[in-house]
Amino acid sequence: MNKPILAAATALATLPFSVNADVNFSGFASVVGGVATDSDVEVRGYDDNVNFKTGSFFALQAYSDLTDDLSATVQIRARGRDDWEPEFTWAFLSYEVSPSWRIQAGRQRIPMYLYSDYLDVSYAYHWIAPPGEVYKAPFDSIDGIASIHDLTVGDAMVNLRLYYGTEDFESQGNDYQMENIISVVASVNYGWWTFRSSYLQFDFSGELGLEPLVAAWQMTPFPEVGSELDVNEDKSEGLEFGVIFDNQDWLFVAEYIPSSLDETLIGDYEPWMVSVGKRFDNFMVHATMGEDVSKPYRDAINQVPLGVDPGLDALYAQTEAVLATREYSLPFYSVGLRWDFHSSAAMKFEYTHTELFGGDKSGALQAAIVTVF
Amino acid sequence: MMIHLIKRLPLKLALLSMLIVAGGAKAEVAVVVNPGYSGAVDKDQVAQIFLGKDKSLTPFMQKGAAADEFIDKVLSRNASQYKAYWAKLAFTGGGRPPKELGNDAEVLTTVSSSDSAIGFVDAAAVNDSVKVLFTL
Repeated sequence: MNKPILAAATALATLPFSVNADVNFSGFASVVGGVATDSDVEVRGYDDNVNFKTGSFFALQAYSDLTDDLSATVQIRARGRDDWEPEFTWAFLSYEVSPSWRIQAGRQRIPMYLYSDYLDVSYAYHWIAPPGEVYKAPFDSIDGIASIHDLTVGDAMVNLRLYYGTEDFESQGNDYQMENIISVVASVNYGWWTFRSSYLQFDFSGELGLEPLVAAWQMTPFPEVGSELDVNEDKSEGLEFGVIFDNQDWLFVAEYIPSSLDETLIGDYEPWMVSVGKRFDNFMVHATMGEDVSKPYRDAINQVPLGVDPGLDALYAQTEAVLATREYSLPFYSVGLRWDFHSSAAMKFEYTHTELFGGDKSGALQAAIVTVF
Repeated sequence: MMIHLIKRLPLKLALLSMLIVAGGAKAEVAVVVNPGYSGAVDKDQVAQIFLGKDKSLTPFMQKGAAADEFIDKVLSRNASQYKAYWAKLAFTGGGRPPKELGNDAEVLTTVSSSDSAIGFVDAAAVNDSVKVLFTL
């Protein structure tokens, strides 16, 4: 061992790590089993073989107060659907500027949905997981900075947040990049009511696997049809409106999330849902309905003249087939039961009936044990 | 067999009703602060403090028998709803649940040694080391 390393090691060994740096550990987990009620379908990620992997995960959180106003938080989540490969969902430093203002820097959840903040903490809500038909975004965290303000206006508690950051993610084998993510979130808590609205924008790039089609259009007099198919620094803008009423007896939730990714195949999507629950002692029954609505952007392709050139007609037909996969309006219905059988764990059952793309209807049954520790 | 059961039924009912009465007669709960604390805090404000919305005092939860009644009467929740409420905040960097002490004795020791502490104990356990804000 050379001298500088030895010196550093000695210095490290004598540093009073434990004085102001107690590390607190906690965690949460969901073990979910599910099965689709029909063969040859996929409902909420389940086929007709019972599986315990798709919806299950474990998460561990550690935090430490470095000083009175500075703290570090790390959360690691391992999901069955990722083959239990752990990922950092949160890893940030939080600085409390004043009791009503804090700044968080690092990896953190981007709260685009009503339940985003505690998306995985099933113990904190009635469903096994928020409806995947509505909460479809393939990303949930960003690397960036957030400014979080708490205000009191009369009897109402107001929470305002600003986010700026970037994120790369992989979905179905393709890589995507989000840049210049800006989000503003406002929520008002008044008695048993919570009202929330958010705005989210970002520049989006990625490979959709349609490059040959894009290239083919670029050889025609209508190259803009090609650029409407791809996702290349296209701007996504989204809004969200949500309300929760929860008097610990009745629960009512409604959420509407209109977003658009202009000049791309993804186009407009505006899913919504409403959910009602009633508690009976340690049990809660609930029902949810909603719709997954999507419409591709098609300004340029509507300008293409048909019957002029057979090559163009063929390309048009091929492109229409791709666009059709993005044009749907699929309702879903679910009923569920939550049973608080233990002081820090709950059992949940849920049945979902949904319309699938193409018009078929099918269902999925799920059962779960969810916990916080 | 059937007759045997019926014969015993009145006794069982009597035992059962005794249990229900015993279970229903819950002890009173006292919300306590340090004797040096001179402010007035009402039930609603205590709820805000234990839910992390009011930071004027440092709340201490406890695991003892008084907890269920306190959570029910002051926080208008049951124990799992209280836990769910804090799970929501604790896993999003948005808050730290009140520290949980083991029993009445620990609450009394903690509250008597900190000017800004607030807790609750079985009313029968109260002593001079703390000041009672109100009882439930």
